[in-house]
Amino acid sequence: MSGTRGYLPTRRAVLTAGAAAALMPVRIATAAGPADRPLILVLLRGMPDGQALVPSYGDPDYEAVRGALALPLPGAAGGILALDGKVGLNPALGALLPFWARGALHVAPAVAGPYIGGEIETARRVFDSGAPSADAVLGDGWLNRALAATGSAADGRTAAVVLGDTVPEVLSGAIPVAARDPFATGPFGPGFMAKAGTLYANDPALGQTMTAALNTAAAAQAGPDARGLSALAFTMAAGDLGRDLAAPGGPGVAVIEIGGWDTPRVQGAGSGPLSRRIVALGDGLAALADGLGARFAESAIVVLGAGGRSIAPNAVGGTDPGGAEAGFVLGSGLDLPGILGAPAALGADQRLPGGGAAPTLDVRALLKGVLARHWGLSRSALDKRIFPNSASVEPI
Amino acid sequence: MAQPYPEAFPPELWDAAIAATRFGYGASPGVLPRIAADPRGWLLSQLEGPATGPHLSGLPAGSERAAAFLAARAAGGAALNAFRYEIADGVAVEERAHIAHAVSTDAPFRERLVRFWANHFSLSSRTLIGFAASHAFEREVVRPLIGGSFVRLLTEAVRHPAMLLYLDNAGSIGPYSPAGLKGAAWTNDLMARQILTNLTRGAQAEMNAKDVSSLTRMLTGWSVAGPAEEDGGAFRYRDDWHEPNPKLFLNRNYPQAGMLEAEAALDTLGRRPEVAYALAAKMARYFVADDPPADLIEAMVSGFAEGGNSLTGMARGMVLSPAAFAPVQAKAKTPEDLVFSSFRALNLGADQAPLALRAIRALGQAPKGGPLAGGWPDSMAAWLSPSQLAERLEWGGLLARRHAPGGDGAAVSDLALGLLGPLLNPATHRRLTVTGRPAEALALFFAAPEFQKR
Repeated sequence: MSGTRGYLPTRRAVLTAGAAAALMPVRIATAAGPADRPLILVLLRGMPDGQALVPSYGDPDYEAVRGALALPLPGAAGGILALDGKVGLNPALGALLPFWARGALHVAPAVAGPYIGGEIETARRVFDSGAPSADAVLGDGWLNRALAATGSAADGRTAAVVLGDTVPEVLSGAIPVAARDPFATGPFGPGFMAKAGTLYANDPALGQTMTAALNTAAAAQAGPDARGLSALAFTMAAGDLGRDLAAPGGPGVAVIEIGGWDTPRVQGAGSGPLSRRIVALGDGLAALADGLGARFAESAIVVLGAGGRSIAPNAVGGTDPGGAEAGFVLGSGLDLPGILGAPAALGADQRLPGGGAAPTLDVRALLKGVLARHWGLSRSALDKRIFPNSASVEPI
Repeated sequence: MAQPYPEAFPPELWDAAIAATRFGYGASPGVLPRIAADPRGWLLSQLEGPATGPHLSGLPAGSERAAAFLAARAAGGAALNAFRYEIADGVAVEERAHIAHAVSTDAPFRERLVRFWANHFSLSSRTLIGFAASHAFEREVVRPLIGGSFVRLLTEAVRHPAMLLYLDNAGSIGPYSPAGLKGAAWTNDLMARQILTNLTRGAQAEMNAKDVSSLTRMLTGWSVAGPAEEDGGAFRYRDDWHEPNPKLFLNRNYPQAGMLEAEAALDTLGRRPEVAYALAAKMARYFVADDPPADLIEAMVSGFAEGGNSLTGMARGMVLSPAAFAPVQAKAKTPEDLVFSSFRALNLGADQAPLALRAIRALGQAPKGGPLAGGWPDSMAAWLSPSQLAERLEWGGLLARRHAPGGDGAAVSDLALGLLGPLLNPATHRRLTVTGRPAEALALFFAAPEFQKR
């Protein structure tokens, strides 16, 4: 039987990030650094729909504004998993509930960086580089700079690893990083789907389905969110990844890109490909934590995209990129409130011009808070080097 | 050197391949020759013995979860959320245990029958009581009783506290009952309607309003003990909630007899011919074809009746009917079928149950997670949309990479012949023999239509 203690919702402190910062001074860890305190960054590429992940069900406009994308309310069959009366989790994220119950899940319902437009590639660049604005072009990524600031990469050991075949910009920079695919998660050569397709040439029942599947796969491979692993590959590899990271001498930092989150068409609500992707994400995160075993207590797992999507569905049942997203931090030693920042406001007059949610938390505030608490990085380093020109952004 | 595709397959190998893939969860290496001597006997032998195993022991009782649910419901709002958080870990343990059993059982036909009947009496985990107790319901009602009569299974299913709460009958108080006359009357006909349709005569069956009303009144008092009562969470019949007076149900008069009225009504209903046909058609659709032939259904109804309302008799009738062994694969594998058969192909065991569970969930079939009234569908259209097919192919590729055999592609073409026999398409076999890398060959085998169907 699991070690979950009895849980009473009143035990959670549901505070805004500002209030939390005032009440809980940033803890400077003495032996901080990736070797002692692993950090795993899970990047959701394609700008995931924040309202699909963390719906603002407590907003009176929720069902009207989300329309066909509205999930059933808490208590209804297949309903949203309530967290605090205002926001909840997509029912597909049930695997994260035990983390919430023991205070190891922190949810940012409406978080964004300095760029809140809808260009997926621009958003990715601004997020990865930790830039203060969309026009600032830095040559490296905030996580590489943070790693340098810990001074821990000097011993020649592999400090960080990317699961996949390319090192994303967030981890590019002065500190060398290894890319590896030990779990063989990458796709086969481009011919695989075509070869599989030939096996269906004479199948009366499934020939047409296969042709459509090939077209879907080809379109997905050409999309702006075709980076890294699929959610399915993540959920399969996550347990092994956790065990690998927990092993003595393992890397202290891992970055995983998960593609497929750009949903401009027919994204569905309680069922469909996006819903299955969300299941795979939640289950994968739980398996990752499980694989870490005892090391989870010393780890932090940060789950973020580079921006969010429109609150209301567009004309073809999808959402358009731009605006605040929803993010997660899993970790039991971070001393953070459960909910980071106010819920996304859904009213028409509160949304951004592109239809996305206005952010209630700067993503740099979230990341600074995690890096300060987890690795003991100084405010000065965070404000000037890791996130340049961000002195006005207070860490959570 | 790869085995060539045989000129002809011995007839018993056809039946063995169909027995393993259509009625079981697929063959493991070496199984087909072993069962070829008597494939139908292999299937029927699985109907003996208990439908349980060591993985399924030590799991929480349904009444325990029902009592905790009732306590949370009485406390209201936040307590219900807290209840869900508290049991989430335990439910995950149950899910993994059930998958571990399915992956390792040597009676896959029996296991399919368990899943069929559990899905028939679906307690969807989309509801909180379903989330809390549907696995316990399967262990306590379905597994012990699928070797017996339908009326016994039906009665125990209706009696189970999880079902009474799921169909909202536990608070049903007749207007002329002692409690009702004091002003507490409240009835809900949801359970009666579900019994008269999905649980017996079929989802589309027409109902007579008087029959619904009569059955609802007969079921008043069929309740669940509260958390503070003795045996909290267990079935409790409350006579002072029971509606008195005779009831007319399905053109038969039922004199006043307390709890025995609904028992008698379920017994009568469960023995009606149209119920036998509805159940047989449903089982035939689940196992054999989305549109099963009439002679198959007849054989199953005969087996059911000859055995005396026997569930085993219905399964026997199916297995012994020639129509069940038609050589065309007419059913799509559900995600569970696909994951279990891939595991058997690779001899993966219960220690990999967490991976199997994640795969089944990611492919869209969270255990017990189907629609409320009818459970998971099993038609090809429900499971093989283009995006689902693409996901399955990717999943097969991921699994193949983890577990590819050594050597070259020839090892995989031999494996494929050993697992599917005559069901393997010669074109697929040819493709496998010319694919150099075993991981890619294995992925192609899993991708083939003959592996996606059964």
